[in-house]
Formats: sequence, structure tokens, C-alpha cells
Amino acid sequence: MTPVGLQSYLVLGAILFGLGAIGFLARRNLILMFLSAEMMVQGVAVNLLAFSRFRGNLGGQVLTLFMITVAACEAAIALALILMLYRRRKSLDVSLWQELREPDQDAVIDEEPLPLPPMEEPSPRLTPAGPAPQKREEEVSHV
Amino acid sequence: MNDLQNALLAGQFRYILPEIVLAVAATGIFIGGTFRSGRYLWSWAALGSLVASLFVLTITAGFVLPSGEAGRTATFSTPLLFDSLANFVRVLAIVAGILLVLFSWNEVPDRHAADYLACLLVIIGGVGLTACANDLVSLYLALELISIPTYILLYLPRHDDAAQEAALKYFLLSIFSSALLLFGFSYLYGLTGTTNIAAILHTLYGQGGGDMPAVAQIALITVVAGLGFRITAAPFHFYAPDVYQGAPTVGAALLASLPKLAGFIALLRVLGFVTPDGVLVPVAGRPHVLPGMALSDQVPILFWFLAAFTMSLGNLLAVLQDNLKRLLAYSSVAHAGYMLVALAAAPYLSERSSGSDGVHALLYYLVAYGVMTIGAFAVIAFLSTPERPVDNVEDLAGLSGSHPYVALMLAVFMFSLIGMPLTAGFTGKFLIFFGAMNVVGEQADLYRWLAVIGMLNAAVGGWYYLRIIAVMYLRTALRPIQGRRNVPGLVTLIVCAVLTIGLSIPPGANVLLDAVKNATGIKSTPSPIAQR
Repeated sequence: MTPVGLQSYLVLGAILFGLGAIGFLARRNLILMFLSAEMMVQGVAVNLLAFSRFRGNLGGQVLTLFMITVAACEAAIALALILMLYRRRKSLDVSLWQELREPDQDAVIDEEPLPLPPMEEPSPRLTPAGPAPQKREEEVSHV
Repeated sequence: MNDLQNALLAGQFRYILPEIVLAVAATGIFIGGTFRSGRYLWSWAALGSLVASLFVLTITAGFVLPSGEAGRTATFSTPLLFDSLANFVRVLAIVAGILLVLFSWNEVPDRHAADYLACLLVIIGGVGLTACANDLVSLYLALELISIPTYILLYLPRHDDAAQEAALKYFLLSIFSSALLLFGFSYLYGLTGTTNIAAILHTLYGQGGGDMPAVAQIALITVVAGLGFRITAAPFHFYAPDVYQGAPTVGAALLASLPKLAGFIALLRVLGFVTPDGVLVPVAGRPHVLPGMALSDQVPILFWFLAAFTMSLGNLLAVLQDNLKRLLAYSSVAHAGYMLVALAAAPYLSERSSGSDGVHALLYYLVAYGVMTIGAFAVIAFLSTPERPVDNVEDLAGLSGSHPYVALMLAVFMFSLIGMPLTAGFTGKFLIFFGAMNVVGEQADLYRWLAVIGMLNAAVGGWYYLRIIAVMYLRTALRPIQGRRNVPGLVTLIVCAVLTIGLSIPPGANVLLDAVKNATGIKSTPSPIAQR
């Protein structure tokens, strides 16, 4: 059995990085775009660990540890940001955010829109057991 | 790790006291902001901590740095290096921070002021640490220390669709560029087997592209691409107009100044345009490599194309813009192009002592550009009110009648951005293009052409900046600009205007040029105490 050489690891790292980059450019779901960028970082991690083994010191592993930590921080911010955006548009589709563009440029309109999510079964409702209680005056005005 | 290295590592903490002050203050403001809101209180706190940090920096700059054998060990083993370039950039970052705090005094809503200012302090600290970084790990962490608070800072002050879209765009492209940069870093580590930048450069200068030239080329391209996002070099500039337009004005001013500063410093360090003492040791049997060409001898030509493309694209697209912030964004791209001219010429100029050094010109232009662009954004923020926003060039009509002094200051910034004499922009452009004309040898013609392209671009730039001045002075407004009473905003404007003019004429120009020359001398900090 031939030992796995440095080159194989580098190719693996480059493939992961390239797949991530393609995913980042081609995907339209915000969370998948973020995960694609994370995949690029994982490709870098494979590179670093392979080089670290090849060079026989721990520098690459140290950088990998820091990289993973920072990626975790970024994930926290990413999810918070994506959640805020989702609340506003009720969708994770990134092509809904096109307000900022060149003044004479038209919005990119999809020829093949994403399939609509399947309709959920409406939740079962209990039959009313009696007349609804009257609302007081101030509660009504708040609504 | 031997004892000397341990002692050096432990000794590093006292040199980063200015950044520690900023980090502690930011933490305090983050926590305090949950109890008390109010922008005045926290603005004073942020201003105070920036001044304190500057004061601490003047003290730590006087500390004796390790020299001799210990100094050599420090250069090749410690994660941070405190040379005069680092101190110069740290002072710049803190001064820019003070200006931005004054700028945002009345711009940020009370509810978010504490978080906003704390993020700003962390960013300033990050720029300072980027300047000190001497290890790929610390450089990466320092750059992320700039990026991560920026996402929050872009998002916080406003909650409309445009601001959220801007924050999203900046965030996604920033993590993409970080990944590219890291890929380059992993190859740099693989080439040399160390993450210490001084040691990497020493190895690369010693052996040229190394035994893996293809890996060196890929590392060069990905590092330049990753940092190109931060300095808005074309073709990595495309987020800038959208983000500047959507972001709050103060966020746009910050994006135009601080990440550019950090990006250029990181480029200078990683590609070896400036090297610590003891790195450039001639190796027997190997011809002397020019600075900046550690990774590959294609570096100048790469920057040549990047510079020509960036400045042409930025200027041509800026001509088409009506929105002021979009226009300033493309102008920021164009100015990044001028700075890249300095970087492209730098390797060939460092051999000569004619006084025109590419790195000097770059640092001078970074200061000049920061001052005039923060000033230009400050004018927009000063004049805008929710009832009468100043978004487009047309909205400035009649400004000379309603606000004659503000109009005059905006004219100063515009003339400086064009590069008229008696402004900092002129001196900076002069240094850069004069440097490019001064290249001798085989490449002389190439760089003359680059200087010509640069001057043509400056002429195109004159068109859209003069349009702003013309609208301001020659047209009358349908609805006069009201503006608000905003003393800190006015102070920002006046300081920027005074610096724009003052840095171009003696004594201001001499002070800055001396500081720049001292910074790239890369001697250990001159200290009053004798070196032991």
C-alpha cells in the first residue's frame, strides 16, 4: 500500500476550497452561502494540517485552531444577521435583496423561481366551547 | 522554546498596552450600555479612552526594545513586532478613531450608541494590532478583529432595508475574502514551514520562489485577492458602491479609511515591501532580490495591472453616478488605484536614494486620502436631516448660499481629491507619480506609461468632483438645506479641512514626510534611554 503523500492532501484541500467557492457563487439560500464559505475554510484547514505534518512543526495546527474559533464567532453573527433578514422578507432567498444597485441597472429577475415550499397542513383547531369573552375597552384600542 | 523566547513573549504585553486600554474600554462600554443608554455619555467615554490609548502609546513607544541577539530572536519568534512603522500606523488609527467618534456624535441613535462606540474602539485596536503583526496567526486575528465589529457597526445605526442589505453584502464578501486570504496563508506556511512573517520572508528572500514556484504564485494571488477586497482594488471592488450607499454615512467613512489602511499595511508586511532588521541578509550564490519580490518576481507587474485597472474603472464609473455616497465609493476605488501605483513602483525605487520611495508615497497618500474622504463624508452627514436628506449631487444645490463655510470646506476636500496644488491630495499624487516616473532601467517605459495613465485618470476624476463644486456654487436650491446644530460634526469638518491644507504645505508637510520616512526606516523605536 502506498502511503498518502502531501500532494493528495493538497488536492483534497483545493477541491474542498473550490467546491466551497462554487457553492458560494451559485447558491441563493443565505445559510447555504454561509456554509459554502465555511467549506472553503475547511479546505484551508486540510491544507494547513497536511503542511504541518509535512514540515514537522505545529504552526499550521495552531493557525487551524484559531481559524476554527474565529469561524465559530462568525457563525454566531451570521445566524443573527440572517435571522433579522429572514424576519423582514420571510425568505432566505438572497435574490430578494437587490435594492442597492447601479441606478440604470434592472433588478435580476429569475426565470426559474425557486419552488414554493409545500403548503403545511393547517394546525387542528378546537371547536369553541362557548362564547368568546368580551374585550375591555383599552385592550381593543391597543389592538 | 527556550528561556529567551519565553521571556520575549511575556515581555510583549507591555508594548500592546494601548490596544489593551481600548479593549478594556470597549468591554466596559458594552457592559455599561446595558444599564445606561445615551450617546453623549458613551461618546465622551469612547473619546476619553482613545485619548488615554494615545497617551499610553506615547509611553510604550519609549520602552526599550530588545536589541542584539535578543532582538534577532524577537524578530524571528514573537507574534508581534513594534517597529516604527507599527507605531506610525497605531497613531494614525487612533487619530482616525477620534475623528470618527466626533463624526458619529449626533449620528447614532441613543439606544445603540454604546454598542456602536465599543465596536469602533475594537476596530481601532484591530488596526493597531494589524500594524504590529509579525505572524500569520496574529495578522489573521487582527484582521478579523477589524471585520467582525464592522458587521455589527454597519447594521446597528439604521434598520431600514438598505442598511440591512449593505450589512449582508459586506458580511458575505468579507468572509469570502477571509477564506481566500487564509488559503494564501496556508500555502505561505507550506512553502516555508513557519508562520512567523519575518522568518517566511527570510526564507523566501534566501531561496527565491523556493522549490515550489507554482505554490508561491498561487499564494501570491490569493493573498492579494483576499486583501484586495479590503483595499477595494478592482476586480474586488464591486461591493463598495452598494455597501457605502446603503450603510450609514459614518459607517461608509469608516469603511473607506480604516480597512484600507489595514489592508495596505498587511500587504506591505506579508509581501515583504518593508522588512524587519536581519531579514534581508545576502545569501551566497544568489542574486539580490528586490524588496516586495519575495514570493515571485511577477509582483510589480501584477500590481501594475491591478493599479491601472482599478483607477480607470473607479474613475469611469464614478462619472456616471448621481448618488453622492456611490460617487465617493467609486472615488475610493480610484484612489486605491493610485496607491497601488506606489506599490507597483516600490520595488524598483527602493534601490535609489533619490527621495522618492514608493512606500513613503503610499503612506503619505493613505494619510491624505483618509483625511479628505472622512471630511467629505462628514459634510454629507452634517447637512443631512431626516426631512431633507442629502443623497444626490443635486441635493447640494445652493449650498454656498445657505452654508458658505461648509461649502468652502467641501470645496477644499473636492479640490484635494482632484489633486489641486496646496492640498494634501496634490502632494500625495505628486509623490506617487514622480516616483513612477523615476524608475530607471528596463522597466522605465512601463512605469512612465503607468504614470501617464494615472494622470489621465486624475483628469477624468476632475470632471465629477468639479461637478459637485459647480452644483454647490452655481445652482440655487428648490428647498434650501437646513442642516442641524451639530458642534462635534463641525469640529470634524474643520479638523479635516485644516489637515487637508496643512499637510501639503510646510511645516505640516515636512512633519508628515519625516514621520513617514522614519516609519519605513524600520529601526527599533528611538528611545531616550540608551539601548542596552
